[in-house]
Amino acid sequence: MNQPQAISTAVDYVSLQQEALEWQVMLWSGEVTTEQQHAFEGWLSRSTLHQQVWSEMKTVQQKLQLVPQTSIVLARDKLPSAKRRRLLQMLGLAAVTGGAVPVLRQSEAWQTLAADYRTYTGQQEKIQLADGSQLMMNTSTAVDIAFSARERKLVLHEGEIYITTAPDVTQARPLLVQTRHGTATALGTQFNVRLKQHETRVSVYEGAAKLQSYNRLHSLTLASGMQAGLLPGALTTATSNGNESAWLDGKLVAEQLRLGDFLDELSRYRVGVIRYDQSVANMRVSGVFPLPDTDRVLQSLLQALPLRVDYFSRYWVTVHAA
Amino acid sequence: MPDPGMHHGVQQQLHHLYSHHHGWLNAWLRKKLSCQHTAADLAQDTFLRVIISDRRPLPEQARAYLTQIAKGLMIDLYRRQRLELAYHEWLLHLSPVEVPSPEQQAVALQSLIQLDKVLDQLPAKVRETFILSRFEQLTYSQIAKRQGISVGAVRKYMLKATQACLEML
Repeated sequence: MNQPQAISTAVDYVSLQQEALEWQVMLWSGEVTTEQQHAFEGWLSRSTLHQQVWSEMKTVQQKLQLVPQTSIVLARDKLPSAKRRRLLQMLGLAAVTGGAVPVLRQSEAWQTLAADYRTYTGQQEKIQLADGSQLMMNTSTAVDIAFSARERKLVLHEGEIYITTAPDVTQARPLLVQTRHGTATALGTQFNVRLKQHETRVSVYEGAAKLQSYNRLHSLTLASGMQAGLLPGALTTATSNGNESAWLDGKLVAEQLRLGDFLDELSRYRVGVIRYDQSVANMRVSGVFPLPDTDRVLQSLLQALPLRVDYFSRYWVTVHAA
Repeated sequence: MPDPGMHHGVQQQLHHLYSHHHGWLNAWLRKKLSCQHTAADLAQDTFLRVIISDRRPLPEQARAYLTQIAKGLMIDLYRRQRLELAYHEWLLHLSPVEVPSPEQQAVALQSLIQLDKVLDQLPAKVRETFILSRFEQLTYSQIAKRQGISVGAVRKYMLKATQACLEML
């Protein structure tokens, strides 16, 4: 009796793999409805075999996330044979390329690369979660979705998200965002969470949110219109919201902002680096600037302030005093 | 490394192939590549391919057969170098804190090379559809519009490409 059962398991596995492929293709459509998301989660929770098959799919997802967009462009055009031959003649030259690349370690980088949802520099994406909540991702953002029977947890590894929660009708599980600085739990609410280097900034736009520091010793309920910073062992004093959510409208808003801070903010949306002289860092900028066209923003700065912008390459920009 | 279980006749055949052809193949590759170390590596790899595959060329076809394999390996090497270069160029444009660790770079580069192979064997429309979806973040309706095909066709192409990824990545 052992033999037929082994065969039927193998058959199951192949057909499950086919199902996993179909689910993956559906989930990648960019147009997933809540019902479809629910249906997928139902499928996934059916058995450990389902989850095992899906984990293969996750490996594929992770490998794809590791590949930078610019480097894959090369693979797009299959070389015609005549071109191949000419390229082969150039091989002698190609063989001497390569060399040292400056490298800096970053502990969170792996999680960032392998996260469930990811945007790259200059991208924004809207995601509909299984419970009907909506997640907007700003530039360079990585989020893991960890929904369980007890809670609806989002782990923010990098970047910025804006959440519009939907009430969990069936189970009333809390929705919370976790970062390396602490957690923000939604209390029926819309809020923005931005992970910065030294703190996580939470701004509430509707309802309220409960903040808790990473060491769980400090907590605070933040009302609508207020913001505060999460730190590993503390919370900052709550203040009124500024323009934290302007990115949702594709805008960068500055009100008497230091130029240095403005350029740092702008460089979040730009591939490469923006450097500036200390002599210009304290100039003040005001205005509403369109994202993600950072070139246009730099050009409009030139009209407002006595500046000069040098482009060493598309990826390296320096701002000087004129 | 000879397989201990390998048939004696096969071993002799390979030995004959190697002793008669390794010299000129190495010289031919050196002329093409103008780097003797790379040439020596590729010559070895060429024979390795012959050993791994079960095909044994007839003596009069040996030269053509070996050059064909060697050319394929040169193209692989060239593509690999192009991909490495593109990847390193991308790294240079990152701010220092964004640069991944050497281990992550190695993993990413390996994924890139594998994905390049996967894409290379797909029909152009399938490849383009997959890249637009996964690397330019277009929705299926946007891809359908851009490619002038139906959303159903986009799904079909994505299924094909994803299956290839699952098998090869």
